[in-house]
Amino acid sequence: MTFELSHLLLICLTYLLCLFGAAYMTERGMLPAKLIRHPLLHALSLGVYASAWTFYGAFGMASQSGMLYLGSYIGAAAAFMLAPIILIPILRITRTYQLSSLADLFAFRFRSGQVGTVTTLALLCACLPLISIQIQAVSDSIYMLNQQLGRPQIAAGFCTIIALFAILFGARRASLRNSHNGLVVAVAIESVIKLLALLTVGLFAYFGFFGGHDGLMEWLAANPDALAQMQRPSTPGGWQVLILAFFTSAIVMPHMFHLAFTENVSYESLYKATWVVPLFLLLMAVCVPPILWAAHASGGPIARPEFVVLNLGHTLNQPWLTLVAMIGGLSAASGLIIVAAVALASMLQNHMVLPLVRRPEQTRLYTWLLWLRRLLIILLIFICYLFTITFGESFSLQQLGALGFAAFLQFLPGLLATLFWPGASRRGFLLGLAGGFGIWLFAITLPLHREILQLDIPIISSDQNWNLFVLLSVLVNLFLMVAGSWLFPGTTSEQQSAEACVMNSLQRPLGQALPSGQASDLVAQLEPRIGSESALREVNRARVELNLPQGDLRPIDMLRIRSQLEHNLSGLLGPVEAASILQTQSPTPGGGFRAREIHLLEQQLEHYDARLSGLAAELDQLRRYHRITLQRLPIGACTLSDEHRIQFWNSELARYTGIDDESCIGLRLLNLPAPWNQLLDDFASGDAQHEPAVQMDINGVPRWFSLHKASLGGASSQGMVLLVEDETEYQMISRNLAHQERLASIGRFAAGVAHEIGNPVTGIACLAQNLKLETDSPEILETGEQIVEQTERISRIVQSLVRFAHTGRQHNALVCEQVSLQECIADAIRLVQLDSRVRQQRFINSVSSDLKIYADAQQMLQVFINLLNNASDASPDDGEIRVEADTEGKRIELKITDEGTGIAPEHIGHLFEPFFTTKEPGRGTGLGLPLVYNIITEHYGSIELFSPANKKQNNGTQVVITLPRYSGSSPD
Amino acid sequence: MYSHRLLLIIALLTALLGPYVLELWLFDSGPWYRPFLIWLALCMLVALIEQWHRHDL
Repeated sequence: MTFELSHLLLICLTYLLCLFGAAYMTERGMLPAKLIRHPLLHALSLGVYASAWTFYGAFGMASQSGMLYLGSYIGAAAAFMLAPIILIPILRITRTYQLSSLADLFAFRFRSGQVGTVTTLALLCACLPLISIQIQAVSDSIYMLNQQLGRPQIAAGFCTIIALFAILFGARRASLRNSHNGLVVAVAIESVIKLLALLTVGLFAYFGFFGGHDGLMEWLAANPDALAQMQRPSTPGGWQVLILAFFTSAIVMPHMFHLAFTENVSYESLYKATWVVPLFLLLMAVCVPPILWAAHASGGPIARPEFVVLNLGHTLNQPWLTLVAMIGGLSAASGLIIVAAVALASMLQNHMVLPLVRRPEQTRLYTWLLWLRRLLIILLIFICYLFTITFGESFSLQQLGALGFAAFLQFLPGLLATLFWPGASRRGFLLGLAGGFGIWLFAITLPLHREILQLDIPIISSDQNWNLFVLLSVLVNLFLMVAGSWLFPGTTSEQQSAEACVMNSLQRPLGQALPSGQASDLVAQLEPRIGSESALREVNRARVELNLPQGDLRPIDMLRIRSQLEHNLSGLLGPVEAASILQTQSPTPGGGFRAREIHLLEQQLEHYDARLSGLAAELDQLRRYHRITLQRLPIGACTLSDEHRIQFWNSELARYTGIDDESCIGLRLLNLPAPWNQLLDDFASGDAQHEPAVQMDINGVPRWFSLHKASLGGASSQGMVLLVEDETEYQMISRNLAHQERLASIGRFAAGVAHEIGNPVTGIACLAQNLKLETDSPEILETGEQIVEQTERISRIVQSLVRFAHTGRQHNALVCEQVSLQECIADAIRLVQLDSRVRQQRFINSVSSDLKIYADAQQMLQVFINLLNNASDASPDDGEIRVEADTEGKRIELKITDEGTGIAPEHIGHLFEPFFTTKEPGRGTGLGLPLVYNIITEHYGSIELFSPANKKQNNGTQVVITLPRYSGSSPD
Repeated sequence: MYSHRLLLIIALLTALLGPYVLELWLFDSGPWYRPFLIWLALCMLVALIEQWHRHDL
């Protein structure tokens, strides 16, 4: 069977160009984002698991071991079906801590760069045979179709194209955590293509060759050996090891880890993969028996059973079938190599190159990282190529696959410990891995041992016993890890990381003191390692991601920006480098509330609501109950750390102070806005446990607060709780009561004085009248007349004083009578003018004498005195105050207008509230206008204020009172 | 704590029943497609559970 080389190259290049095109269109945003981010697409990309080993090698295994070939499918399917307890927790850890590979995960879990390096090396060793299988499969398959080019040349051409693709679409950005959507889409397409290719060949064998179900069953009935060979019992224990190896490989293989966790955008895609990947593998697996039987039935020689799928088309004289199978094999191989090379390059970069090689001066960090990764990809593929041409001829696909998958199994103990056993330590892990890999190396070099050491013990007398070695290596690995962890327990930081990784544990923030300093300190800290430009860019990026303003940062924001920086740098340089760059010299704080940073812990707990179960959920409910109790407490409450930093700030305190909890958590009390900083810090630092009614001036309004405090533990180092009680209302009422009492006393005094003055004045008036009768002297008569006039004036003033003293008796019934507005206003003006300052002001009473109302004269007098007093207080010394009245039907509209300063718009709405005053303390009670309002409404009237009255000069206030007009009978 | 229990139960059941289940599933004499039908049923069950989980979210 020979195809033209040019045709083969054209087909291969067209296929790879189509992949390039799909990846390019994705990266350029030409494909809908909804499609790219669809969980199904991501789940399909996980079909990269079905590599050339599955596409070709499964036939070899089925031919040799029957149904045992399903072990590789069942192992991977089980891993995805158990995603909620294995894969989802790993995704949670990798997403939270920005981990991009298995080496990152182990390095983070065991807090050791050494672990990351060892894991990288071990993965590299395990991947070499796996990637070589792919290169070998492609070169062999093309070579079978055309022998014009040798296998090494075909392998070299294939490797070059694949390296180019990996660089273009797998290493486009410096950060490892950035999604390479083009790569994911290309791999998903490859999964579909290889599935369709295998299904096409399988369906052709089933329907085209056997003629459907009946034909196949007839053939099987005629050839019972074929079915018996397929269903023959497996080697004891063989399939268990196989399934375990493939179960582990499906999780830890670099390309699987990369697509399942690093390129993953959501948990939803992993949930989708729980059935999509097993179904995908089922469809791949179900094609194997019919194709194998068709090859047997067609009578063609099966020299290399792994290439049965490729040869079937030739045997059946269907060249197109051969080409379809070749494209399927090409897609299966290329997908794995591309993703594995990208993933391994990032691991090598983070765990082997960066710890050893420093960035050259005058080189931009991002460019350097990107080119470093590209170089590593080329180097990796070149090493794999060398491995293939050196050892490819000596081993079959199955043998190479068995080596690789057995090596991946050595990571199972470490993975389980990461997820379920916080007791595992770094040394235990390294011991276990060394033991497991030691046995693995011994097993793969078995033929060499036989020759050199002349060993002839039964257990290693046959290559078929490889499963025993694999099982032994895992058991030794497990034993050494447990024993090592028991003998050499982990450090505190290791323990903290272990708890963060263990499934169902809370992601408790690590106990670290709130850092002080500014963003520029962080830039300075990063500068020596990543360069000034990159340091500034990373810090600014973290600021933008956290939506933090420019300028000084609060300590809590500094902590957040540090965490964000560590996350971002972890994606760029790996967790070990990121942690070492940001490592501070500050000692780890001790226990108590300080170490835990209560607010951070609570923020974490808020996200865990639905995920807690059992006792943890009940405790969380109790916590929420207590928290809401404190939040809704009708008294201001806050808790402080030992450094007087705010840990909790309830809503009532936020209402008093106008400072919300988001903006003050983590601040020291002294950093709060004035005047709260001084008040609260003085009280928190002082000895007094209680401070009653402290007066404060807030926005020009006096407020009173009582303060209380209590320590949160035996020692003050565990912080304290402060209670702030608003007593303004109580203080205002008591002060106004005292003021009213004083006014009442003055009123009573004025009434007494008026009475006492009234008697002698009446006597003087009588004597003056008598004087007029006892003389004819015009001068004396004139004097008498003046005395009488003056005494009448004194009488009017005294009567006004008496009336004023009697006002404000709210419980008295109204004594309504016909009242002349002009006279009432004139009385009020006379009383107001008693004030010496007021006498210089001009009061103009323009009210017509015929305007009358039916009202309580005393109360109306009180109304006008209050309003004129207010107008007088607001007016300049030579100001003019006008009182005018007009009639509108049965109502009188009275206007009192001054030329004063006016009233601020924000105060107008509060003027009729009791105790609200804009006058200086001691001058206004805040009761005048409320009293006026009450009296006017009792008389069926209304009152409104307009300010400014004079809009041109923007000054003055006008009070407009509307009252029912008296028309001979009392109004209803 | 609860997931650990679940894992222990799965591990125990796999160790105890796994060999018999797999022998019956893969190597028992019967129609060649029987293992694949059982596998398909398992996939459908997991898909149902996944749908249920989505409604639960």
